[in-house]
Amino acid sequence: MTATAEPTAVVPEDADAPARRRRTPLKLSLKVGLAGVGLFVFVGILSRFWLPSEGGVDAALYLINIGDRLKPPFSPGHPLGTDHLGRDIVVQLMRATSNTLLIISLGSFVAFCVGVTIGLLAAMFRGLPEQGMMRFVDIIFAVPAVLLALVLAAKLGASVSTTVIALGVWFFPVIARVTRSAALTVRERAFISAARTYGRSNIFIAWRHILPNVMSIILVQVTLIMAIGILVEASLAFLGVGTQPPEPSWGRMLKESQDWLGEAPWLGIAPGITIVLAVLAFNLVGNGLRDRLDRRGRDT
Amino acid sequence: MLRISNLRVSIGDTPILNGISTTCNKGQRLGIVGESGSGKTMTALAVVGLLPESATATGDVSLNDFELLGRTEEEMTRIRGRKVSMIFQDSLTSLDPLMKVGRQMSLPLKLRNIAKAEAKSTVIELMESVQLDRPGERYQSYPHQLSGGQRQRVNLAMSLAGEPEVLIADEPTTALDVTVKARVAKLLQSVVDRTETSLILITHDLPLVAFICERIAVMYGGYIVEEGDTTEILRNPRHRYTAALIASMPVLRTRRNKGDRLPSIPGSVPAAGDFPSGCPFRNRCAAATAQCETMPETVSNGSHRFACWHPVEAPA
Amino acid sequence: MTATPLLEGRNIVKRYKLPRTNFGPRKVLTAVDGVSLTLGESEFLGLVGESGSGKSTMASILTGQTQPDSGDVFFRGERVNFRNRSGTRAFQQHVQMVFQDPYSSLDPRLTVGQSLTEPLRSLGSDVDHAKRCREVIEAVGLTTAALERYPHAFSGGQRQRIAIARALAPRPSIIVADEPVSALDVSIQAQVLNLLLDLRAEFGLSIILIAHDLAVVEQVSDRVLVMQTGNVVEQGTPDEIFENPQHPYTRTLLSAVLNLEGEFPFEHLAPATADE
Repeated sequence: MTATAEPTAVVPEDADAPARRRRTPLKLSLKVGLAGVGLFVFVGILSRFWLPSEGGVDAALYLINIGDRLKPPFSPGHPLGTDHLGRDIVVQLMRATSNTLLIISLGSFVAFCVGVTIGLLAAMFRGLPEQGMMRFVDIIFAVPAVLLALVLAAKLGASVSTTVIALGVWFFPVIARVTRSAALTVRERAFISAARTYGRSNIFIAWRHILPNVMSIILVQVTLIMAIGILVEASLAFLGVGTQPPEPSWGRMLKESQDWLGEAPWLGIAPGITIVLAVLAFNLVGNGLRDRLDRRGRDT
Repeated sequence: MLRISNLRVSIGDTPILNGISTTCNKGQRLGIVGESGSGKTMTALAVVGLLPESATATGDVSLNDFELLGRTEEEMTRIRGRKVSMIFQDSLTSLDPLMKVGRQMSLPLKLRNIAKAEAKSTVIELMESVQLDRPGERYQSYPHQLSGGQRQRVNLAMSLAGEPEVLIADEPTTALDVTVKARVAKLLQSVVDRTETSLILITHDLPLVAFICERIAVMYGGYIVEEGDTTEILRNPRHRYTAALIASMPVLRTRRNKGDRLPSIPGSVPAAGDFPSGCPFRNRCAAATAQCETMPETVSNGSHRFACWHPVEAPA
Repeated sequence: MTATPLLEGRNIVKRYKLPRTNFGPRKVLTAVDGVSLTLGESEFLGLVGESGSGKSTMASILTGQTQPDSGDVFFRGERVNFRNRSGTRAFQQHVQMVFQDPYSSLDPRLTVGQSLTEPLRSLGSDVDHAKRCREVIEAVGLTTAALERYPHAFSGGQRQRIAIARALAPRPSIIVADEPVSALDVSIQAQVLNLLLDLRAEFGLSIILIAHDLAVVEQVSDRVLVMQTGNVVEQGTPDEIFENPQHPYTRTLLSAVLNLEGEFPFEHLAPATADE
């Protein structure tokens, strides 16, 4: 019986084994979501430099024309109508888009920074510190957002920063929990132990090895947070917290439309539909990304 | 008897099984041996109807002339556990972590319409049949409280609870410690003997197959490359891959010279779909020639079949 | 032989507190219960044991991942100071590890080249990192083209080679390999083991191989240690241990070995027990 007894063969496998990563095409719902979010972002950025009205961008916001007030949609020069101050709804919506998006982005960013830090620290340093941190997170989680926002508004005033902070405080617990649980999984992998065999500290490992490997999971959570953030911003605007006149936001537009709903329902419908579409778009992106992650996780 | 005829399975465009044919008679024990990527697990999944959604299967898989392939999920649910049963490598994830062991083990008993009152005593009997100690205690335990060996016994008992005709065991002892492996292997053999269940043992562990199975089928690249009587094949393998596989397993107390390197097969198993045309093993085989670019014909020597253009010399 | 051993462990003890199950006192698991061992220059030591034997904990201690509760480790006669980071790192320069699972041994976000330079960056090294990477990747039988690619492009056996290359990068004197081939296909296992033997010959490395396959351990080891529940129960050359096992546990291990004829050829060695 002849056995194939080869010495450690230098088989140039890298050469003939190409990197086989099946490129799965994006699902339609994800594409739609990305297109939607992309559109909103585009409009938001655009509206800071150009608005479809006379005068510069700033002038457009102050363009009050009582004579033109409460014109319905499809009026000449005002495709979506005008509001109670005669301001063009399209202009308002565009500007509001940039403000709302800015608020939820900043708020999510705050939540991300605080949440990821807590989550990573809790995962790396198990035991008492971890318990302490996670119970603190639980407490914040239990506080109703509206109550939190009111308290903050009372202390800090009703500006945009209050909304951003309220969003950050409201959402960091979710990020912290997701980060921690994802980090705990990654922590068990051999390359983490390997890093310890050549002297890497826990902080280094958390920052350079664990974080990059949990980032995709956290980003999924962030997109979903942004979706909810749009709704939270609207609720806070109803309380008067958020953008101050003349800067509009979707929530403020909704609030201001309340007094005129009988005569001019379009004042509420325009921002309302925009909110629904935006929340939908962010949700599609978040869920679509999560599905992709799940599938990739199962293939490997 | 279980018959597999020309079973082909693809996932998308990628062929996984390329026309597998074999049989397993009542009470017979067949070992399907291969490394990763050989298609051995897919073959098992095809029999129990657990192929992934994206897989397409053609051919025949029949138990006593009852066709198994292409059944609806509903039909397969009635067949699994009752006619065909399977145990897997990972004993922990095979069990529901939130359900006590006793209760889990009583679930398959429903297949035999055993009344709830009798269930507990039947479960205890089952535990004893697999030599699980302290059955009363184990009944109340959760899976994570049992050791790997104990869990595999539980899995084995559960898979036989429905009194199936065929048991498929996919790497049942691979994750176990050496001494536990030996005990579970002996148990598997005795239980299968006693209940006269046919056994298909899927593994890469050749000594285990030698211990339990009368027949062995060696798989590579989605083909059965050699098949026949276990003792015969392990002693006189004809297909080059079988020979190389056997040679690469060191055996205790048969040491070559201390300085010698262990024999191995150069290269590695290609990913599904990347196997060369013709003989799937030809790009790693020392005896390959241009002729191997066409698929070798199957040669039959009594019950010993193999497909190789340049087989190992038969003993004189 | 009176030469100072390359590596020596004296009475190493490591205990773990188990997580609370009920509202009682926490149980303590003694993973390593006073283990002493020595490793010489260019020696291939096989460490054999089942789950719970403490072999992985020993590997962890000997590579500086875990501090022993008591006992000492000596490298070239000098006591290793695990209490501070610099002491541990100075030691880790000389002892590197290869892990069992090749699929999680490498950070998927780093290229192979980046993974290989990590130990050099962390332990602080004067060598030209790029040059060193090329040296070690070729030493394990892969081409320098591999350095630019990501781990997912490679098979299990190749990834294990890369892990070995990473272990070689800081020029250690000792490599601890914890079940380095268990997760690989049988025909590839020999490739990786042969590589370890070749590297030992080429670089004068000492190797501690933790494995459960007795035949493999017999083939490659100069000496064998058998561990059970935190203790070394027997040690000797492979011939001594497998020809004439003394300790009941060693005999139990041997009696569980199957051969290609489907027999348990050493069953007669099994100590008389009444176990499950």
